[in-house]
Amino acid sequence: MTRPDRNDIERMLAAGDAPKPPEGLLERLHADIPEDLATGVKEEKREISFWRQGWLAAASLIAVVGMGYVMLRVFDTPEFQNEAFVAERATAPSTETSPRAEALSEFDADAAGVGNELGGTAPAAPSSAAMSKDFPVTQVASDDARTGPESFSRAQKRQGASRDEEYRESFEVTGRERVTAAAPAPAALAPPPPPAAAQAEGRAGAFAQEPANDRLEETRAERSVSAPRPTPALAARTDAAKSADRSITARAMSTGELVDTEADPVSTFGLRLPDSSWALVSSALMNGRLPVPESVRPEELINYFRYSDTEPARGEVTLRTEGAESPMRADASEHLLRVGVRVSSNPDLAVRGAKMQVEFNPDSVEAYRLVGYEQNKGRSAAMPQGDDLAPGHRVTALYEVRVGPEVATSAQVGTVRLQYETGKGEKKEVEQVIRKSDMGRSWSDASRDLQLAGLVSDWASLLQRRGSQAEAAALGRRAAAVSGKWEGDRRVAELVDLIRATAELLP
Amino acid sequence: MNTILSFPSRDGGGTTLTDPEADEAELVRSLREGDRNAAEELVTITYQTIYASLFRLCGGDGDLAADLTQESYRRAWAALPQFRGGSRFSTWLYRIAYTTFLNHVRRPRRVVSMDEEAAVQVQDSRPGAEELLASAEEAGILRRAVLALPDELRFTVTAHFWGGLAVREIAELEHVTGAAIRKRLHKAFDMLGVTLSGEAS
Repeated sequence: MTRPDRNDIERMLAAGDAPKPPEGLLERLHADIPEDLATGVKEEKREISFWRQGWLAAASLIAVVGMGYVMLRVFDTPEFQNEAFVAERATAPSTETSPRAEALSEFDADAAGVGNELGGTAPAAPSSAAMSKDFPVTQVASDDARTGPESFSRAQKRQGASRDEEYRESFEVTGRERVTAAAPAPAALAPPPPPAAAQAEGRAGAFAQEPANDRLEETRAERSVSAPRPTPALAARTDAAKSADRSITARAMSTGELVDTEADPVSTFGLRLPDSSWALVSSALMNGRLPVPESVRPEELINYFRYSDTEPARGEVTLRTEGAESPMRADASEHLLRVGVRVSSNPDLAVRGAKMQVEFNPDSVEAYRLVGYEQNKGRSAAMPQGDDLAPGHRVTALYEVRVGPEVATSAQVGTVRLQYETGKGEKKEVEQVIRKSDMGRSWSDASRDLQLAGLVSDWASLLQRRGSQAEAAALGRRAAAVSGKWEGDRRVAELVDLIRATAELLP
Repeated sequence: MNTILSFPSRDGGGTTLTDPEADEAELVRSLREGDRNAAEELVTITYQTIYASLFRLCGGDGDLAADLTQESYRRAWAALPQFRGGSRFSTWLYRIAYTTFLNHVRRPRRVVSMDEEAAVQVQDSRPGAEELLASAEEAGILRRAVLALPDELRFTVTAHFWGGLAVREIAELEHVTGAAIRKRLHKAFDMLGVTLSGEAS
């Protein structure tokens, strides 16, 4: 048997209903309550305890002040580490030197900067020609976790620009973005569009729609006008940190491909995932640090939660698909689709060699993106024989789907297929057709499962990009709304805490 | 799936209108003034969780769990003057119950061994004989693995999962940070993973 993972162990520990106490126990316990309860809480003892508490309070105060100082020092450390991280990247030889690559990288870096400064508002998309032509470069970037030198070098060249200038630029970019968002770029249809642009477009509009957006812009404007000039040393550090953010963000945003459906309508994802990302992310945040972007794996974070997918009534697996208009949408074409798989809890019905396939219909879907799986991408390809799934196994995958205009509600958007072998060697296939009508719900009407998965996905993106505090605050409001539907769920409560911690740590 | 016990809330409360933590604090204040009704009320709202955690620690021996629950409350009343209110009453009570359990198994006349597998009492209300046996066996294996953990990890895991204490509450009891408790949990999961895979093979 394979080693049970953290989820399995948590499931086992939490399994079973709370046992009911035997009859009569409560009466026995009540009878045991002593007559003189106040004994021992006499006045003099109270006094002693008061003085003792006074001393304790004083000691705690000293400890808190001391800890505060230590925390400040510790808090500084990751940024220094980032500098080291960036320096390391900067010294790595640049693999791509074409002007196109540089231009695109600069765009990426800009997107990163804008994302960071403006809380996720999107940059203007480059021309469709440039996008399609440059795609291979971005593709390389998305495949290689250690890319980024070229993005960084461009970002570094821009260090000279004053903060005010950058803010002004950012505002200009925002303005253009709004136009782009209002009229979806035809670029989206050009095969294959660059992930960075697509992602920026997808992610960005969302925050533009947040109610607090006006207030945020005000704050930004204030910052741009009244921010005091930093001392040269501080300025150097801030720039370096900023470059670090940009380089990290540029890399993160260039991963997670938006795939053109004409070019590749079939998507697969691994059904078994490692689960270390949640531990890494939560422990970093609880220790007052932002997690290293590489440790943030959206698909693992999404799968930390227990969605309401029911156990199979019959057979080995249940397949559940649900969609809604994306909360992050730049326009009405953006949708989120959740595919949930739950394996029979009956140990007699083994599931072997399970392979998942989602086939999108090019007539209805322009493009799609599987959320996450950047680092677990090869899992399916590396395992052509499929995955063996233990009873009770669950997995959820999230897709961003761009549905084309004028698609009829009855039109088929895609088909989800799960192929596997039973313990007796019988080959089976479960199939589910997704129609436009299954996807058309507004976000507020989406199921709590989809809302939760979408929230986690956006939080992961925020952590990867190291977005702004304002973004995190907006996400916090969403988290509060979603958690209301998950009352009593320990994991969701934990998520709310972690999003709060994220907001405290982001600049 | 999530075993949510009526008390105490794992998320630490704060979002609901009725705050169990505040109610509890109010009851403890009355209790200190000698209000017997407050004591009864505290017992009523806490005893199910205490019993449930002892039930699991005892490997499903309901009678023993009931006896240990009774003993835990007796100890709590005796120790009440020492309760300084640094943590929730229920959290403090859980610690007492846990210690009561440990004292019990360390006694020479022990009934439940931490090394031997205890007979697991099967609940009648749960359907499906095969599933029931499988889960009972799983629970037995898991319990042994949990009890074999180093004390620090054992307490953390049992308090969190079986005692229903939030990470923050355990952190208060143990005078460490929430992050330290999470680390303990991760470490415990790792160790349990190794133990359980060994058991299964």
